[in-house]
Amino acid sequence: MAYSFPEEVLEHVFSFLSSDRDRNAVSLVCKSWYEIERWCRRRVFIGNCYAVSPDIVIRRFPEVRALEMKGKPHFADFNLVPEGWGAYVHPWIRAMSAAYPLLEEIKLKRMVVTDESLELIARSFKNFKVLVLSSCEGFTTDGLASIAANCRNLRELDLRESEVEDLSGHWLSHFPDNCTSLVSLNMSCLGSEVSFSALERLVARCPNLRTLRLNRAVPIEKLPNLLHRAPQLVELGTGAYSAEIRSDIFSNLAEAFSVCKQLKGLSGFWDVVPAFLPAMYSVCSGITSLNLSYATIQSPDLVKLVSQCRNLQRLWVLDYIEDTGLEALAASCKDLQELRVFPSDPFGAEPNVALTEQGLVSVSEGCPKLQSVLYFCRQMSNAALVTIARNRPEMIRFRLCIIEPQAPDYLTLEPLDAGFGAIVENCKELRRLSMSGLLTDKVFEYIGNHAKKLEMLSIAFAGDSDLGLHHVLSGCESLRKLEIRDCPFGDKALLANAAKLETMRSLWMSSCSVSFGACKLLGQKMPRLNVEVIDERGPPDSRPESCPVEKLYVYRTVAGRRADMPGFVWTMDGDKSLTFS
Amino acid sequence: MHNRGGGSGGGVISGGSMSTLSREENNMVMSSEESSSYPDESDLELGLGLSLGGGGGKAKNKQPPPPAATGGSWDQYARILTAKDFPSVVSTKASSSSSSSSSSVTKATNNGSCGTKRTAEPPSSPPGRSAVSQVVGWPPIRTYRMNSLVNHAKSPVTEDFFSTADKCESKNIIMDKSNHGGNVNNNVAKEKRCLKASLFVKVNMDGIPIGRKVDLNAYSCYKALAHALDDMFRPCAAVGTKRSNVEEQVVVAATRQPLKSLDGSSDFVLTYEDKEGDWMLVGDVPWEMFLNSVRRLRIMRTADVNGLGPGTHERNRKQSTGPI
Repeated sequence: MAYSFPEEVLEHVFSFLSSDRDRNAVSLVCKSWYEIERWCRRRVFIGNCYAVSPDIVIRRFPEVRALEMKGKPHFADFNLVPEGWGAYVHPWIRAMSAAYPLLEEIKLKRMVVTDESLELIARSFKNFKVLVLSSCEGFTTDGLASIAANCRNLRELDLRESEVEDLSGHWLSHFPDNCTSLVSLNMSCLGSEVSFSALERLVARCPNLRTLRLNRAVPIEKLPNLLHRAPQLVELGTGAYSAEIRSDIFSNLAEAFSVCKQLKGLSGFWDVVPAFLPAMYSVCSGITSLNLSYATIQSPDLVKLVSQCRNLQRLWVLDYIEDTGLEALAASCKDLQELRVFPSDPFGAEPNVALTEQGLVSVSEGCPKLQSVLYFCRQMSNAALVTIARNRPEMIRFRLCIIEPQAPDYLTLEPLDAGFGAIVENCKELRRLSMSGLLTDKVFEYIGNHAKKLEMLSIAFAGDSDLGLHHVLSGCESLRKLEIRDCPFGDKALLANAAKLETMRSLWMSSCSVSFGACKLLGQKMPRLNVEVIDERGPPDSRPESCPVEKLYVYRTVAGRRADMPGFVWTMDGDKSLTFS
Repeated sequence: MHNRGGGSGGGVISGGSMSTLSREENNMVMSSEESSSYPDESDLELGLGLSLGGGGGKAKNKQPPPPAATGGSWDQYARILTAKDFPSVVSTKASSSSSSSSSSVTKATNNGSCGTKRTAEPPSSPPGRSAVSQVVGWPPIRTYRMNSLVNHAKSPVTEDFFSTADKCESKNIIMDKSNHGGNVNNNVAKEKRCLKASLFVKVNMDGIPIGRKVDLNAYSCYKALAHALDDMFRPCAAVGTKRSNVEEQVVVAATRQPLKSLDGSSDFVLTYEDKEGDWMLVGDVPWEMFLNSVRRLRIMRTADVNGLGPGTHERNRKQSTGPI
């Protein structure tokens, strides 16, 4: 058979394909396309670091330049995954240091990264450009110093929300004087003060700097120095936004902001003193993204600020904004796409702010482009949810957290099944859903019937029986990630839908009713799944087989069971015996 | 497209329960609730939709396999287990009565002697704090954010221009202590009072490579903390990680005794690293002051305890690299 195009032409055509889905499809056309594609794939995304091994990746894609990878399950964010569970990146770095000398980008989420790994990165990849560590842990500022000192072409260093052992701020001074390549620096999660003069000089010599997210320790009085040296900034994260009220500080700040004509995103705002907020007003009309979720300021000040931002697309804010503030938001910000409202006092027995379901209803009414919501509140009604669903059928992400577990509709005292049912029925494009409140198996029936594009579902303290889980596993065709805690779901639904699990990335179930026996069975029957039992009470076979396991994490993999499990994790293997790693 | 009754997961509901699970949109009542009727346990037969691979042979073909979701072959159906084969693992329907008490959050109907520890069952909570505060990982707020909220409460603010009245009730908080020797405005203190949240710190025990995390705000005094750590680390040592036999014996023997770390009568002592990086003995300062300055904890062998205090952080700093 004659080929229509020479390889180089095909390769050139493939180079326009950036989505993994498209490239995967291309690989399946025929053997030669598979070969051509694999040699020219430059970016690899691995949603679960244990789904595949470094060797397999390297063998198939020999010329990778960018790796993006995720480790721990999402519920690790809420301390549900014990320390030491895994997700170590070092084996990957070691393998890639030999195989991918031209590697440029590493982006990791929820992984354990050590100083040793960072040092190896700094030494191994001469053209290293981008390091993004999102919610990672295990390293110190010494590791950062290695990166700063050795990566001559570093463009991005982003440590968003990582847990870094902060030994000192000295790491920043390790950027050599001839480093001028920085485009993005996010050090907001660090505690220690860096040398301000080193920071200033770094910012001044990097003309392409677009994103600068400072940490809390950078005082507001010094902010103008940085802004004057980087008027081209597009995204700024301030440090602590408070100081003595002095007119010179204010006017310096206002003047500095006015010079930054390209600013689109603002964040930071720890310790806000409201008197300094008007200094920012000159940039507000250009702002599309505003993260005020650490700003403990009251509704009137929030409203004054937010209503200046007519082009706002994304707002993260504390519930101090209250219903009145959200109403004002709905009136001013017609381009709003994403809203996240976080609780200021999640553990208080009584509400401390006047934020109810009404705030969210107002925004759903007033903002025609709203598609992504994360909302913490203390009361909800079916009527409100139905209204929201009907207002915004293009909703893509809907995450509602009613703070009290199993709280019913506060008006009717009924379960919130009908409300969430309306959400899934009306919002046909819904990809992510997190539910809370009192929910019976009925809501899962609605979800299974309607949520055909749902990819990620988070459930807590909900449902009555296995039927609930069965509805979800059998009905949600696009489901990739399912995470469940404290629900009365047990063996039947899980075993009946075992094959479904191979079509998903992962399933997490903790404090449910899945027995050890069922886990073993699942592991035996499904060799392409890793069925991991996490149980800190000791070996599961020291208890009856019918005893429920504490936590279960099931994920598909082509790498077999992992070799780095700690003592409280057991994998259910086909050889019918309990296996430790 | 998929068989309406069965769905893509391969599970098939047989018998009289089919109608309950079929998608008949007309019957979907959105605005009012009607009590759902669930099929009898005995009617529910969930066939295991497992492909036993080519030639796996022994499955009885009970129902026609549903169209495959992923394109894999669904040659066989194995009816391996049914509801009858299991002891009743399905919990009773949740009561729809008021859920103001979080203690009803889960129903463990399994063999009670399993000693299932339900993290969702809260002990009685301190006054002013809801029962929610005792449930692990709920509400789902990231540790990073919660620690920032706590830090909000601790950091001094020089001026306060809040324009609305303070709505917070008086509560037991950390913030009070930062008033000592600071310029903190009382109004600020009262406002920040709302922000007490979890205070998760790492705890490492000598001889055990894997550390833990504890929420210090869940305890009201040193004794409670010591007890909790004792519970946490004694069984942990028994479960353990990869170790040589000898080491294992040493660790298990050592932790068979309660920690009793405060009265110095055991092999281990509880220490903490403070904000300045110094390692101190736990128990020397008032509890609230301890909360304000603790960064992490270490359960240290008594033999290593000499020289605790300022300047010891260099010696004691450990880096965990994890198994490689």
